[in-house]
Amino acid sequence: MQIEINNLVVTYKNNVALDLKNLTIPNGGAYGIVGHNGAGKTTLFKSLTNIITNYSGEIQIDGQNVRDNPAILNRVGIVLDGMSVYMNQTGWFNLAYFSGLRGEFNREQARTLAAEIGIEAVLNQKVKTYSYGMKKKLILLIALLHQPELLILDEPFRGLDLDTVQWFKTYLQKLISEGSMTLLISSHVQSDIEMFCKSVFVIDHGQLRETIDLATESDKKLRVVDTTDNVKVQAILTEMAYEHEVLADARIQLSIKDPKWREVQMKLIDAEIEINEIGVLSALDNKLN
Amino acid sequence: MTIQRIVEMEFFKFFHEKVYMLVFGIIAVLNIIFTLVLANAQSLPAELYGNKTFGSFMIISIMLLIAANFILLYWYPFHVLSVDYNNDVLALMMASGIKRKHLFYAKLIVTICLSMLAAVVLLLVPGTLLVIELNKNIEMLQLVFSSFMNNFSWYYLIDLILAYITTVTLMLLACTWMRGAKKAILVFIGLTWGYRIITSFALLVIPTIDVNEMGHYLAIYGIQIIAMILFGYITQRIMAKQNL
Repeated sequence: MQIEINNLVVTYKNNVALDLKNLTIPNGGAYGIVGHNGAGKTTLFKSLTNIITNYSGEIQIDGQNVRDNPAILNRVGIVLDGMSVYMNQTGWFNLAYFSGLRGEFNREQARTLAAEIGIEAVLNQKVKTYSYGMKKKLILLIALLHQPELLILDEPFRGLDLDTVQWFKTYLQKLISEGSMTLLISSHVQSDIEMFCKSVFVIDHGQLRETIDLATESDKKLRVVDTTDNVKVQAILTEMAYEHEVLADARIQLSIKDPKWREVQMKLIDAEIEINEIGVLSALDNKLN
Repeated sequence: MTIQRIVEMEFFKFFHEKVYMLVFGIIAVLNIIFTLVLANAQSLPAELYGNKTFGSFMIISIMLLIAANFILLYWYPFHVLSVDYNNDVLALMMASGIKRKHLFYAKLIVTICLSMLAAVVLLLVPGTLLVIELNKNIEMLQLVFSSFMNNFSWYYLIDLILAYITTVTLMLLACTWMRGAKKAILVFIGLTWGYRIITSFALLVIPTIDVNEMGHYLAIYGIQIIAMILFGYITQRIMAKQNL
């Protein structure tokens, strides 16, 4: 499903929480939404799914204005961090109710998926007896049950046990590889974003700061180098016109894919400079820090 | 998603509320028992019928039961209207593709239907028993029936129906405004009070009321319909702006 956002402005009590001029998220594949706390990620997700409708501008999913034609959300699944269900009812009730709102409830399909996620055994219990992780699994199950074409996940792995995280990651990889679904994911764990996404939208103070093509960025093979004399290394690199960047902690970031990298190494040996560490700085880290 | 679908799922939800079902069941059974006891009071053993303690017990019990019926019938619509806010599930509902306007109409329909159903469950059997008891005394039944028919008018019935729908619309407004908090009841009382004052004032200044009975009722209907539309509009505006 393709998402198109035009001049979307969301304000909370005169504070602009989100101000996106134009943003298009193409159909198919996984896309990350990253940014610091309060950047506007959750507000964006809520606006996409009509949880917030008090905004100016327009959001279209597959050409349908979401606010005017919310029926399009029948094909969208969402898991937000603070979402809730009927606490005094059982898991089965909640599955039947929320699936029923979207159409038919397939009990057998729900049972199979619940067994895979690991909550089948508790579905007869009231949700108020569930742990945080269990409740999140139930909401995840509700989101997945109608086989969404667009899946929106806000911090999806937080609060889940390792087995479920592993299962969920494999499940998402499978869905993405089938090419049938568009995934929109936000996570503070950047390795999660890098695992799934081909593009990442960086939101800062409610505005789209940058779009990162992770496939291109990872081709650069960026590394962070820490040596016994970083100042001298910096001088050598400048002299050789070797593209680099000095980080806030004085370490040097450069690409080891550059053909001159071997020459740099030789010069460092000649200058008796030892390399303490060559670390990996992900493309996303680089853009966010 | 159609209003019909939302209504179906709302009924599914409320018929799964075991606690409320149980409470309604218990009160309904108590209503029947006390009606039977009252209807057959003269047939009770003399030591009970003339016993002061038993008499006091019956009076207090009946008063408490009437209060319980009243509270339950009054409270239940608020519960129906606020349960989604209290469980914080509106986000998930909206994300399922529900139009807020459709939810408004569905809530209105469901609240009216469930409130009427609740009244039937609580009062139908005792009411029927009462009629049967009166039937034993034909003169009494005729008196009640003729009194009812003399005072009955279709105008009054329509007035009652419109007043009830306006009341539910006001409840929906209060619950939406207060996001399902208990203070919605106080807001509802306040709004009702204000509405009554304005209605009374409007009826005083509208000249048709002096013309005839029909004119009087038409004025009341007009005010009620305007109030319904206004309260409904305000509720929908609040709903549309709410960040869930």
